[in-house]
Amino acid sequence: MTAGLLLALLLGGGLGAGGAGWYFRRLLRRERREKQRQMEAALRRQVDEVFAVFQAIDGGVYVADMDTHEILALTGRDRGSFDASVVGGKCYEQAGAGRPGPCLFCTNRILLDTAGQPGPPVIREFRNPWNNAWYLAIGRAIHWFDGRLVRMEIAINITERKRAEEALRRSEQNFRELVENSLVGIMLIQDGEIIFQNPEQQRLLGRLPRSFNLEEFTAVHPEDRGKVRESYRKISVGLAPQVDLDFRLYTGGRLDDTALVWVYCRARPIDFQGRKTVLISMMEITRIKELERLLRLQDRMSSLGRVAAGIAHEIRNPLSGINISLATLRQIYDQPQHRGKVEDIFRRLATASGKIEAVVKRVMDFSKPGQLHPRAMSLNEPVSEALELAGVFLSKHRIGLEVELAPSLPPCRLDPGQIEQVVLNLLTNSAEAMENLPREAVRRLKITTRVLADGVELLVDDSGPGLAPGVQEKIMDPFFTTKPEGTGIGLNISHRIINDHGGSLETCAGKLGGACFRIYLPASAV
Amino acid sequence: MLLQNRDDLFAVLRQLNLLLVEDDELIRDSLELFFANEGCRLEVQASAEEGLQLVRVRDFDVVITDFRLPGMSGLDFLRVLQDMQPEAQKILLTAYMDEEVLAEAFRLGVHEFIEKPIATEDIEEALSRLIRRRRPDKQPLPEGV
Repeated sequence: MTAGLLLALLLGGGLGAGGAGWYFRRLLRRERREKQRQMEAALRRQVDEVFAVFQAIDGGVYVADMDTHEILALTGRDRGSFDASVVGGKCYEQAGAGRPGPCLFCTNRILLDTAGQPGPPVIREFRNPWNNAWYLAIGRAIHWFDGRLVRMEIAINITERKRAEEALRRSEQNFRELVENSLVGIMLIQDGEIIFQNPEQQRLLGRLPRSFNLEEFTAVHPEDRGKVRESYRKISVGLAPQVDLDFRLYTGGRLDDTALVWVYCRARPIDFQGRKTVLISMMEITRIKELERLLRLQDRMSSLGRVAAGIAHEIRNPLSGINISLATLRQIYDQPQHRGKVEDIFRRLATASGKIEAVVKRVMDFSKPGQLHPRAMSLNEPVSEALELAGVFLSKHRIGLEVELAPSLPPCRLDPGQIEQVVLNLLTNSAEAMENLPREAVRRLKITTRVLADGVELLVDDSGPGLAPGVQEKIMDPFFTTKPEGTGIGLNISHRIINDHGGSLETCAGKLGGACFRIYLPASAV
Repeated sequence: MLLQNRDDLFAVLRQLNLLLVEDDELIRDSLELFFANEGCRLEVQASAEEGLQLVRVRDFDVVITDFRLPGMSGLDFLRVLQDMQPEAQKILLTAYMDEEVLAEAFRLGVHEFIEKPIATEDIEEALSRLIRRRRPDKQPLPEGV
């Protein structure tokens, strides 16, 4: 260009002033046009480069004339809405409003400030009714390369995000409905304060104020408060990932017995809104408890029935003694020379009657229905009682009983009747299992009690056929039985009874080659 | 016919050697006294093992045993007795008439069963039947009967 100018000056100098002026003006015009063309090309290149960036986004960008709404340029990955074929068309035709003129929400007015200069960008979310897609639109007035002010709008397709948000909102709503209408009482506790209670929980516990100090457990029956407190502590300090327990609860905030129900409760720590929270769910199980009580009673009677033949023997023996002695007495009672014998017979009659009374008392004590009435005692006591009840039954089954009771067991909180029921169940189970052994087989049953570091244990070990593979896992399940006439409730109830005592009942490896059951019971706090 | 009444029965029994194996002290003592009062010789033992020691050295005409005994059972005792003294009459006492036990007892030639609770009448009837059955067989009874 500089060389051209020099040449023009040289030539102009030679050709004269008049012709030179015309030539120069033409040259300058050409020069200006050329400059403008180059500038426009540079600007267009810049726009193209900027547009190239937007080819990467899901959505697109377009530029439209602010007066005519004509689309001047457009790009983007979102084909269909951002197709090159729509350049030259009107932007509102693409917005899907189906209007002959500009959209109602056209942002043109707000893109310019009062001085008619470009204002700050306008950001909005909108749904395109044509393709149902959601866009995040950022609009701004910019200077087009030909100098006029145009509207540039970047539209980012956010349909996925919107759908996810909607799904989340729906799912939250569903969860809320589930929780609100659940038959299970649900509540959330943070730092001992109730932060949420669903309606069922409000029914169970009463509508408690936020400041209510739950950790005093005033709504829990005094006898169950200890185990509830202990379970809550375990969860609070992270000793257990979850606790399940049942206890008696005063409902609706009333502390009288008419408000008392049984609940099954599960507590587990969760992260709620970023804070350590305890999730507590509760179910009223009063009716279940009542049925279970009846079932336990039935099981108690049936275990008594299993040893009935032995008990009959224990009564019939002294009764035989009485019968025979009476026959002798009839012969000699009026003969003075037999006075010594007569007195002897009286003594025997008294002994026999005492024995019968002892058996009857044992049976009556055992069959007496009752709630759990635990008291501190040695595990040996109910174990010995059960052995007494089953003694004749066991010897009838030709079982060699070996009893090894630890002489001084630490006391446990036990309901003697219930523990006796469990032991009797285990003894009769063993005896019945050994029934099927060959006649000459040795039948051994060993009962052992032992002191442990934090409690006591009872082992019932036999030389029977043992538990078949696959039976072990199911043996405590309700209604699971291996006996043709069995009900399958005995072991299940035994398991529950031991659980109620805070202990455990499980199978273990025995030493006599048959089945072995182990009961662990915690020692009572002194 | 012989044994029309108790006196006849005991007249015969007085000539016989009787053994009772019973672990229940009350039954043992009361039966011992009952037979002693009738002038009969009833030896008593508390277990099958002790009973066996005795039958090894002495013959018995009638052996009464309880079924359920500590250690060796009454049936096992009778099985050994059958080998040693096949002529002895056997009576089994039991608190429960278990079919399996009954079948086994029959196989061993048990002559009578008495179910507990025992009354002296049951014993007297069983012994009467035993002796009546023995008589036609012309089995040698001790002299004087």
